[in-house]
Amino acid sequence: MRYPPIFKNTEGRNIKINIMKKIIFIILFFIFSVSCLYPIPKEIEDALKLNRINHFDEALEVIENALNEEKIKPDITSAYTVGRILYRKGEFYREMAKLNVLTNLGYLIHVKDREKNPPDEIRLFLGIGYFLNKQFLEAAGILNQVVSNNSLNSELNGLALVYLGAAYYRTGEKDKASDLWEKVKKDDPLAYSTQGYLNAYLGINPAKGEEMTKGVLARPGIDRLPYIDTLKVNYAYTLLSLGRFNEAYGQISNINLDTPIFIYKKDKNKEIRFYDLAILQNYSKILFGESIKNLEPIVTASSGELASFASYYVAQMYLYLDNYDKSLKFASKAKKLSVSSSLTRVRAVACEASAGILMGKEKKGLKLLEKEISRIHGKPSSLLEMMMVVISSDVDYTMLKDTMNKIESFIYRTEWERTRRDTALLGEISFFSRRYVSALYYLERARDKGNKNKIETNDPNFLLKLSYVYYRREHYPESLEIFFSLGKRFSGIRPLQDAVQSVYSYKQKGSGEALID
Amino acid sequence: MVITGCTKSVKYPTTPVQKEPEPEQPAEPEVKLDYDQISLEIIHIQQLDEKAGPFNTYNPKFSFDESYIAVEVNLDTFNKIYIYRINSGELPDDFAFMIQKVQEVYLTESHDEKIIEDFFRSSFQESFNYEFNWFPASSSYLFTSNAGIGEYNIFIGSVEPEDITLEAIQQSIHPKSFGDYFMMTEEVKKDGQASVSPDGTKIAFTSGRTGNGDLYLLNLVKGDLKRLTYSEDTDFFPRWSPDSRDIVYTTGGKHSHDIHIIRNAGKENEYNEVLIKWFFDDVLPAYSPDGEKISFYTTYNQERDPFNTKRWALMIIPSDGSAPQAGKELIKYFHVPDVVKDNTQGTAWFPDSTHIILAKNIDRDYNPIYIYNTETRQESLVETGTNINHDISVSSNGLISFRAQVLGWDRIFIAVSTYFQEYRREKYQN
Repeated sequence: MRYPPIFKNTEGRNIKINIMKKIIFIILFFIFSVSCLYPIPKEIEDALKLNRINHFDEALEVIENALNEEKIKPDITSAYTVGRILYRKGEFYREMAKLNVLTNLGYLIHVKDREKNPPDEIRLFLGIGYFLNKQFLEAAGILNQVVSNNSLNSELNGLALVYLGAAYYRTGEKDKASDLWEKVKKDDPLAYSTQGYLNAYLGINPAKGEEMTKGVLARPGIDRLPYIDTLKVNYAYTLLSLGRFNEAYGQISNINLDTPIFIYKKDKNKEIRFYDLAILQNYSKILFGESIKNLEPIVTASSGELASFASYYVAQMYLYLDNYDKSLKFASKAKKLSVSSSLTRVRAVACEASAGILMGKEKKGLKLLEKEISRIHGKPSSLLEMMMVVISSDVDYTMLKDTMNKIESFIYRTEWERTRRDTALLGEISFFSRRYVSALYYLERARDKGNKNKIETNDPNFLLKLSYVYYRREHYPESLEIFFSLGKRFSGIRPLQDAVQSVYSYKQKGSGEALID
Repeated sequence: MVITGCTKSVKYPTTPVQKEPEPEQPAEPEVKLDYDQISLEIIHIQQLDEKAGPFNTYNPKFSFDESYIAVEVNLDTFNKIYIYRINSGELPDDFAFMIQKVQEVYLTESHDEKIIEDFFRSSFQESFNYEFNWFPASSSYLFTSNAGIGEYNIFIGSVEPEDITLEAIQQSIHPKSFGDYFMMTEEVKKDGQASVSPDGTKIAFTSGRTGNGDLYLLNLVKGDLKRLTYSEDTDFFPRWSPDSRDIVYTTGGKHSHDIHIIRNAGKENEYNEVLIKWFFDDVLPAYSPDGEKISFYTTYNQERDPFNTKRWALMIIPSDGSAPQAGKELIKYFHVPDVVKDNTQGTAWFPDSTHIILAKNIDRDYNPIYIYNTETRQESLVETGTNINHDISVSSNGLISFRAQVLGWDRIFIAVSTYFQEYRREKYQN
């Protein structure tokens, strides 16, 4: 599915165009300020209802069709609706991506530890898992073994070279990385495209990355390869890195996130399906890019309150895209535009603090959080929402341990009528501080008991988390039940489900049998 | 965004002009049937609203004249009450009901200017509206709501725009207006489980204002509020006797609950009496329509295992307190094992005060429905063609409603009994 850009991109254009755009936005501001008071069009209302039951794609499709058929106008209302739905979908896939890496890593470590002589395919994907989990030394160590053994086919060996190079690059050994990347063969589509993607991901040369990934897609017969979706997402990611958000988004329509990129067959009855562990993370980032495309102009064009919301979400998404400068800029705008008692302000401060910590300004970030905590300590729901922003931003738990303890003491001292979301957020905090029993308790309480696996009545993000907690607690049937239910609605669940199923089989059947299924 | 209401407690002004009614008597039915001459069967079943979609409906409640049925509808963070008008055919045996939704009952924050972000903030506005209760011979009703964000209070509304009952209550106790409804209670702590007396002059409800859940009585004529229970346990689920004199209720803590009764509730000679007190859990009492018997759910089981809290059974005792409070003698009043306990509905009595309709907790048959004769202790299966049945209620003339699953979502069904059929025939002839 591709959505037309509701506002055109202003990046990379000259100053004159920007001035003209600002004038247009000022005009639009007055038009929209008036138009916002009119009732919401039926199509938008329909989309909002679908969003409410977490049918993101259907909601977006309703708006896309309405725009194409000119039933609704491309205005602030439609842009905001599209932007927010994409933001929600993006957050869901971001969460899925993180848990996918963790479950697959867990599974592969399991196999490696229990098999006497695990195949190099296991080591390769374990190395990729380590890399994506930011364990660069472990990644380099195991991928080095794979490359040295030279037992894999050319394609997978190329992938090992690419990721080993990336691991070296992250640990500061850039020369070693370059030497390895030079060995990657251009005629290995997966390895060469992945190298192009890593050029963008590591910020080395996104333009070069675009050229490499685009070139691979232009080859004859490429559509028939099992990993065509990875090649498309790799290319889209390079476009995203170049700020061409809408083009990037255009590349990921009809992507299947459930297809393995390689199937290892030990014998007739035993196989392991290996998935591209980076694809979900990249997919979510591309969704964020398109969401920014829709929300960013609203910051300028809309009235105060809506602009403050848009500003916060844009700030948060730039943080997810690792663009901390822009995140800080929009967080600061959100703070200025929002009223002091609002949740948007609390979230904007949390986003600003998180960006600061992630940029290495730990003391400043924590100080900012402390100040906000003392301002809102009587409001447990706001404290929870604030911490959810920090947790979602991937700030390391060890940095936040004291702050977290302080917040929890405020929260547990306060008696208040908890909403389901409050309870789920308590579960998130417990999960973040690695107290899985407590996380299970709260997440389970936040679940809709009558429809416990239905995504229409349960936030799919929380269901994902709950499933992972069940997996961690070794309650595999409960975990799989949730994944199965999510998989019926969302592409990309299969890799997680396979990993959990395999660990479950392993535990039930013992060593050697886990390769089945 | 403005949040209205939800301030401190309110005192209801007294109304000197109105007189409290004379001793309450149950209203004479307009049609009298000899139930002994009617073989009780179910002759027609239909789904209330066949609208598909990801939502659940439950807790059906018929109005006293069966003109309306109210059901709770739940989707994620919203719990609304839908009221349907039941239009039956002109002929007495025409039971193909035309069902028409006439009202959605819910309270929420009032928005002067709604902006698009509000639609994404559902989780902060969990508007929960439930515990619906009709007034007798009226389209007025009570319900509990958190009004989208505040504390739970009891509200009153009506289907008909100029309902006499609602107007009278407005004049007598001047409840505060809240959107289309009026606040019957206004407390920081939770109020709920309102039960209207059959004569329509009083409301009994549960309140958390004292900290642990006590029963209160609101006199709708005088406007005064009286605390009825003072125990350290939680007292809840009050149910009026048909003569509007006594209130039977559940009391207890974490471990077990008992059944108590308040005789002459609100009067000078009021007193509290223990009906059941033993180590089993006993909850949700309900009067038979003639007021002679009280049924309730119990965890008593033939193995006498007090820790088996998952299996519920049905007990029926005389309402005059002549049954023992505990012990072997009480077991004589044990009636049906393994019934489905609904958390908000008591037993569904037929108007003959002899038969009960209930769902049995038989997993393999997906909670089948049975009609149970409390005198002969015989039960007969009702072929409903539905699964996972519960929330069964019976109207004052024998119309039945229950909840069952359709494609994984809970839906309400209406069933016609031969009692209701005879009632319709008699009414038609008159």
